[in-house]
Amino acid sequence: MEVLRGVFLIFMFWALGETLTQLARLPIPGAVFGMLGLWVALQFKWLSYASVQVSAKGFLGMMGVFFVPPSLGILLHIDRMLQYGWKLALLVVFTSMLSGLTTALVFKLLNR
Amino acid sequence: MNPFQVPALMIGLTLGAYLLGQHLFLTYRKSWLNPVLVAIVLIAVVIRLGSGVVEDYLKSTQMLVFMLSPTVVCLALILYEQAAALRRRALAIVVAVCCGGLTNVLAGVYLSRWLGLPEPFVQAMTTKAVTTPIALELSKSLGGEASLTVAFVLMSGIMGAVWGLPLLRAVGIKDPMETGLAIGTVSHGIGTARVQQENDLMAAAAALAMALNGLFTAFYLPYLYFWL
Repeated sequence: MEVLRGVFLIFMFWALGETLTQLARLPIPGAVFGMLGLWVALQFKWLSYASVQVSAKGFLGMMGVFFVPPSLGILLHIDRMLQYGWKLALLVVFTSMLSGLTTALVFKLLNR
Repeated sequence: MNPFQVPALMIGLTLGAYLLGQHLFLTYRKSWLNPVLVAIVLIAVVIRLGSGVVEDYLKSTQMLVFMLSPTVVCLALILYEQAAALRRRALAIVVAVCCGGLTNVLAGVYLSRWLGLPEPFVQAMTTKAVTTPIALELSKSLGGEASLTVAFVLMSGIMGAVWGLPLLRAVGIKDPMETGLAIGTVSHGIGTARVQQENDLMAAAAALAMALNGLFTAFYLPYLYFWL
């Protein structure tokens, strides 16, 4: 009962987000708005933490697994990517490091 | 019977490979033993050895991918739990994540053009730091290739999940907020899934950074890209 109610609420927020993006024709996925919506609802106590806790922790605990199948899609492009092998690898590593460090350092500076 | 076309078998294989990866990670605590990475390698080997077709595997495991969306909604719980810590530094968080995200896009575009990569790759570089569903939508509005976009998103995610923590530590960034924000900005959900094993504040910072960078990029990239 508790799990079912939680799953229902989570899907309701997803559906709300989905409806919003479709109606407003935004390029942002509904689930992201669903997340913001659920956060707001919890924060303002429209919903109790307990009502979604068990179900949400269940989903979150499996998050990593859900990324595995789309990751294997890389195999479809492996030949094309190997053509530019080291350049691509270097670029992804370098720009990612640069970006991560920018975030961390800007945050550190602003918190002085 | 082609086992790669049976969802039960392929989903079972995926869950099993992930569990094994998680077991290895918890036993040896090596960052390259990331469960997502271990599962990908194991499944790729099984597909190759069984002379399967990747497309069959992808079709059979669609149900797992579907679950990503409700899981993104659930990240609200982590944000709620850490709201007090996040709210105190809200402005710094927003500014830092936006700077990091923009750096990624600009450096990605200019460096990849400088190295002479073809345009579809350049475009995929701009969306690689945002969570898969947003990247897909963006790729659609930029007129890019969906599966190439996803491939880049995943490279960026796996890289951050595997080397993000050790790299940040190596340059002296140890604060859980700073670490979480950096990893969430670069490695979206995959990085967020990884830091959930570290601590709650780091996970919340990563989830928030992922959401902010995704939202922010979704709003500016369709306009900015045509200027670059």
